[in-house]
Amino acid sequence: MTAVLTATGVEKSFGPERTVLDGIDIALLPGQLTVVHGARDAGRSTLLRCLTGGYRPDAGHVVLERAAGSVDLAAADPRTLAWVRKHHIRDFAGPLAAPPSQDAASAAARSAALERETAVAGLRRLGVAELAEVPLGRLRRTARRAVALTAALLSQAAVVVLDEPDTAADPERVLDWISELRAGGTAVLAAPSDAHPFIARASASAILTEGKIQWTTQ
Amino acid sequence: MNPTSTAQAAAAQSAAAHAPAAGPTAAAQVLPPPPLLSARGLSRRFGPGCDLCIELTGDAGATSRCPACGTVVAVHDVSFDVGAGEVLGIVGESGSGKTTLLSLLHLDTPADAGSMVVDGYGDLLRSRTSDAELRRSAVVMVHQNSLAAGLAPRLAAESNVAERLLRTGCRSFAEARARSQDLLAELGIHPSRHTDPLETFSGGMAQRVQLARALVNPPRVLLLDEPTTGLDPSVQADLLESVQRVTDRLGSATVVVSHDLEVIRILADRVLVIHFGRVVEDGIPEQVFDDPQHPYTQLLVASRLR
Ligand SMILES: Nc1ncnc2c1ncn2[C@@H]1O[C@H](COP(=O)(O)OP(=O)(O)O)[C@@H](O)[C@H]1O
Ligand SMILES: [Mg+2]
Ligand SMILES: [Zn+2]
Repeated sequence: MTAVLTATGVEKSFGPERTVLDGIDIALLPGQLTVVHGARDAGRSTLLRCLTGGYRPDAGHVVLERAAGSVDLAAADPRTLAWVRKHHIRDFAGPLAAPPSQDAASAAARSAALERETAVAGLRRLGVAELAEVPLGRLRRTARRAVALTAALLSQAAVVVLDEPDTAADPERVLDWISELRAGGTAVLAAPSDAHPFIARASASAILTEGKIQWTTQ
Repeated sequence: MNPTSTAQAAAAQSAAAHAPAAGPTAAAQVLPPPPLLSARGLSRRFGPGCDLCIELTGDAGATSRCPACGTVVAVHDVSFDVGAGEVLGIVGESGSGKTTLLSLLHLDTPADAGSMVVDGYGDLLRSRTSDAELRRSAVVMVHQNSLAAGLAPRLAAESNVAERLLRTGCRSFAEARARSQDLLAELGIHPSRHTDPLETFSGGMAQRVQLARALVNPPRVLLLDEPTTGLDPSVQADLLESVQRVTDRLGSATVVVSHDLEVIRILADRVLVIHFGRVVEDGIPEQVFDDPQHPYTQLLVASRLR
């Protein structure tokens, strides 16, 4: 099977002092769950953002391969990047950027380009049905993250990348939903806070240390 | 090309972009469709100009005023593309050139150089259609101030919307009135206010009336100037929702200018940071706000995080 997203030689530093990623290779396959873990501050969030185009890597390539063609996110112009992130790659990296007066279900629905009822069902599925009617501006941070996670899991993108999904909602519910996405052919990459339950169900897992990745299962 | 039919095509395209995703096997394109608005090399100076103006301004001189001749280089070599249903955000402090850039795009100020190609109309900076006509069909601006937007302060809010309907082909007064009321209600203006003169409206409400007028006859390009400035926070949030509803629906290419980074993060698909009249950073909001590359953007972001 060919990878839907292939990263090679990805490097990222913040200022001259802090090299966070020092040559990362990763391939995400349709239907697989890849788990990245590591110590706090190891750079998992940075890696995930580089893989989804949220950050521009200093070096390397991140190639999305689809039936219609391929794009290197590390080199793509911003308009192409925005397009790819709307149609092919979906990330959960924090709360949604949405008007604070908007209710949670509407914000998730708009973000996932789905009907509001679908978002309501999604919130219920994650165990946070009670958030649906509440304006985002009145939610606490964890609840706002749960709304964003719902939107990501609903999005039906070919690649779904989740940063600490287990601290936004019940991990078992998240894992069950991920299984369903995989059955539909989605490639999922997750960097959970507590890696064990995720590793138990992963196709591949890797540890990130000193800016490099070591595969622990394959 | 027939402007009306391409406007419909653009709206259909944008509707498709918001339609339910068709699952990971969908054969969606990996590259965006051609833009509706394509600006290249837009430049505007105020003053006599000299050979050193460009060299001595911008980051190099830390000013937009040429030390040799006093000319202000308000906008220099700005380029961008915006597609159907896309929102481009422009941020920068006051004096950075945002307003001049918008006035170039709205054909209020002539550009010294550059082009502005709008789908179906060609380069508006060289168009033979009158500016007034272009401002009705190709480029609409939502102003902070409703007088500048050409609204009639003494007329009822609904009449200001109906006027545009009648002007763009609606034949019956009754129908124009009914549609105006629907549009105003959709933008969150309570029916009890529809017949009040516009001059009794607050700034945020008057902007909604302008948005309703834009919905009447979807322009190719929608320009929003500081849409939330001067409004209190709850009104701001409601207005942001209205703006989102309108940009989702219109399928226009939208350009929104704001000094408020949060507004841009919420509304924009892409961001340009303008400093001394130049684009110093161009990226998606995540890149620009969470991993800024230019020292000016870093300062701007850091100052927002208090
Ligand atoms: N936008 C940024 N600007 C500067 N430094 C950053 C930025 N994002 C992350 N870092 C730095 O990169 C390192 C790794 O952070 P992160 O990727 O969040 O780690 P993890 O997710 O593994 O805890 C930290 O030292 C952090 O301070
Ligand atoms: Mg992290
Ligand atoms: Zn000069």
